[in-house]
Amino acid sequence: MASLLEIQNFSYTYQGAPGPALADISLAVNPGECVCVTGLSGCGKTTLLLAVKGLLYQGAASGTITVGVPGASSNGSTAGMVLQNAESQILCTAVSEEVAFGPENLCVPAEEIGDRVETALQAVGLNEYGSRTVEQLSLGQKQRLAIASVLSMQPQLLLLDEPTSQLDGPGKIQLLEVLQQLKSRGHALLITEHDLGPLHQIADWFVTMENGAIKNVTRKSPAHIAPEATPSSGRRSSGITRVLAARNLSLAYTGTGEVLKNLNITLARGELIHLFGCNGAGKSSFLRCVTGFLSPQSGEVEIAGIAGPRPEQLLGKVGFLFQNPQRQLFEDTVFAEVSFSLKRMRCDTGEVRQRVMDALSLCSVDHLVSRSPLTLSFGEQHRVALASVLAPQPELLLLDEPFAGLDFPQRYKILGILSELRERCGTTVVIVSHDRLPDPLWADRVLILEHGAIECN
Amino acid sequence: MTGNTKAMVWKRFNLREAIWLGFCATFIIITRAALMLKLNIPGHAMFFTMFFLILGRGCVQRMGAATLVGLIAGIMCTMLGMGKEGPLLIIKFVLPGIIVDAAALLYSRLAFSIPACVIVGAIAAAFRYATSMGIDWLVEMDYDIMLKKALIGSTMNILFGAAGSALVPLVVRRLKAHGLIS
Amino acid sequence: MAPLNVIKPSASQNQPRVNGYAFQYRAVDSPVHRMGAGWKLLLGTALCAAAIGGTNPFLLAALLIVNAGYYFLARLSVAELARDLWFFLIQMAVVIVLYMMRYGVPEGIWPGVRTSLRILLFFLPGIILLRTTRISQMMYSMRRILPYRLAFLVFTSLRFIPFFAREVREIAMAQRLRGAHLAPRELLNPRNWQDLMNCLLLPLIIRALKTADEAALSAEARAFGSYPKRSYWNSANYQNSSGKTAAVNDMEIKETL
Repeated sequence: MASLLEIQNFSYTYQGAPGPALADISLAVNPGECVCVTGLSGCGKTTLLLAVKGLLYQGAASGTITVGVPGASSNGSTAGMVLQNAESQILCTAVSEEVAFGPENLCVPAEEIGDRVETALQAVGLNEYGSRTVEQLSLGQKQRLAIASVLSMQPQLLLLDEPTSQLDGPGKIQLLEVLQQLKSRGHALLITEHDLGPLHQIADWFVTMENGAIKNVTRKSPAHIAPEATPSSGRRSSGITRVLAARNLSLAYTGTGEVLKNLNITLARGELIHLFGCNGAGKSSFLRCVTGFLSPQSGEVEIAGIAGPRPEQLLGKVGFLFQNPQRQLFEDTVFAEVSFSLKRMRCDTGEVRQRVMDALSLCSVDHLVSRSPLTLSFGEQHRVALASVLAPQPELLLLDEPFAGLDFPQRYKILGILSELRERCGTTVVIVSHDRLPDPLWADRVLILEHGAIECN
Repeated sequence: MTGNTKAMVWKRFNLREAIWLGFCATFIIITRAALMLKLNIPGHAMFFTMFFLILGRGCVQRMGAATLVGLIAGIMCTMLGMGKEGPLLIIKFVLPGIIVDAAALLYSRLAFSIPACVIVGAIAAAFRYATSMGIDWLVEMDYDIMLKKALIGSTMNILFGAAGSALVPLVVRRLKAHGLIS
Repeated sequence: MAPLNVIKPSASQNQPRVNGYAFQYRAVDSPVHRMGAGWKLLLGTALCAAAIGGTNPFLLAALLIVNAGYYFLARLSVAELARDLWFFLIQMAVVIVLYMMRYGVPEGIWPGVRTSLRILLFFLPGIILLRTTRISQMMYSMRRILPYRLAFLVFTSLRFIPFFAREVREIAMAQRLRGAHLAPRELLNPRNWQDLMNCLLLPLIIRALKTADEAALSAEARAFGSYPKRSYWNSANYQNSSGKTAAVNDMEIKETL
């Protein structure tokens, strides 16, 4: 069988970069085959997809990439690429317009586009959503819409960059069903991923990359090398000091309905908590309620000893690491970034210096103290942002989806930092996520947010 | 701005630059809508309008960048019904953009200089009133009354426009220092 | 356990923001609503031209009646008319005062009234167009008129309005918890404007630059710009297998503002 994708000795170096981003890559993907590429952040996975799609211009390339089978339809695109971030790759307001965008660019006759839109939406299970606006879709649906918008161009090869990274369990299952169907129809799939668990069912080959080169090609998914999983140890909650308490918390949005229903939760000092819930379960709403950004319809909240808090009252007491924490970076140096809250707390210079260096050391970014945070790598920015919220040594640290975009070693590192924080400062740490934690033994308690209420697992 | 895309828009801006300029227009719309509901001070919307017009030009150092921001903002405002002028709104946004581009042609480091930004911001904000003056002229308003009305109407525009423009160099210098724009 | 204070439920805080400004689309059925946007533009242009040309008091009176009839034929209410005309009434007062200062008290009144009335009659047809034309219709018309590259930029910018509105809120939340003075009341104090710039605007701009990168990549990955022209498919005609038509919901666009 002729390969749909053939890469032979391909190397690529970005303009001005000291070394190659891709080094002597050779790879083939056949129709109906799924190849999963994995590796640490920065190993070249996304660059590989961009190279296959032909979207690398300003660097130096060598080797060949051949996409497509001779005799394939000419009014389609041989390779379609779905980027990692579904939100920023959707360009139209309406679902049907987004799916029509690609064929319009290819000058497909208007009378044919309607059929393509219908077919593509059916293929991803969104045929009932064609009349909706994009804003009405969930994250998982947006991811499937991104796939539909590429399918409408009738590609033979699909390139997907970390398609499950922002999806919860049900979202991943739905996506994998779609990918399985595409595979069975003869599409070739080249997928990059960190979390390989869901892909067992559909991937035929697993390719591990390291420093731009292929390290390993196997039929089975490579195991993550994780630190030895141990039950959380160190200072445990005494059960006496309450750091967060919410009683009968209810919250509803117009049009959406009740998100939180008589929610009750109590967290003691020094606990490590994993708050788990699917996308749309109300996790973010809960966090905004307890930090005073949203007023619930009813209920009581006490956080760090403050009842009915306003956000400004929580400085130094509660730290909150939002999803994509790189968004909050703005200072000229890492030191200035991490010291921002401490200065607002009017700490003296010596104390600021001490706490900043402690936080940087804890997060293993002390060597970057004089660097601009905006020029760091994704993982480094993540840890700098984390250092900035734990420098004030808060009583309670809330983290909303802290692992998005991180590879597994980086995730383990974050967990280690948080455990260490609890040991040093007695901080209660709450990780809110839609996925299981890399280390299942990290948390003292796992709380499940479902149907607006919390259950303890 | 650095760009790694091949597609060009009118052979002048690459796609990334063009979309970024569109986002400047998006921010003008968002801030305009947010301020309209909260404050009732005439002319206050010019603060962010001039900020993003000059910022767009500062990040994309090509002729027509500010005009494109104004054009996109004007079209979006018209579609969203954000002003009484209807399609004439487009002119109200494009004119200040043209002024900014013309000023940048004369002084290439416009976006890095606070005094230059303040002057250009004030002039561009004043020119925004030209649409209203044009209508006043069409209905044969007396010239001196037209000027007095323009002065009353545009004073706050000018003040807010100048204030918003003054912030641009502070942002542009930092973006350049961090290597985010070329 | 110490008693917790009760938080009074806030009925309005979590409601979607309601647009309070004039000239927004009014969703009723009327002959004017059913008219095509092109016809309304044509009629509006004619009325505008009449307003510019009309100096005769009888002509102006007739125009006023025609415009009022046009307005109420669109089933718009007196309250909406008041909201739409509020600015013009203030302007009228200013213009009349200026004319009176120029020409004296009784002599300056009629020229002032005439001039400001002509201005009002110039704008009123455009206001009726905005009040009776859905955003989606405007978008459809714009797409047919604008060159495709400009249309792409306009509609992409429109699509990202809710995205960046969310980003502003989330960045502001994160920074407020870090100690930045970004609460609405705090921003009235000019001393806090430095926080607005450093803690909100700058990160937002950086985010926008990154998003522009990703959006450009997405467009190019789907062959945007590969050909000098592109075809146009009208999504309003789309009917899926269950017969539902596609129509952009105007309220969803407006609600995000």
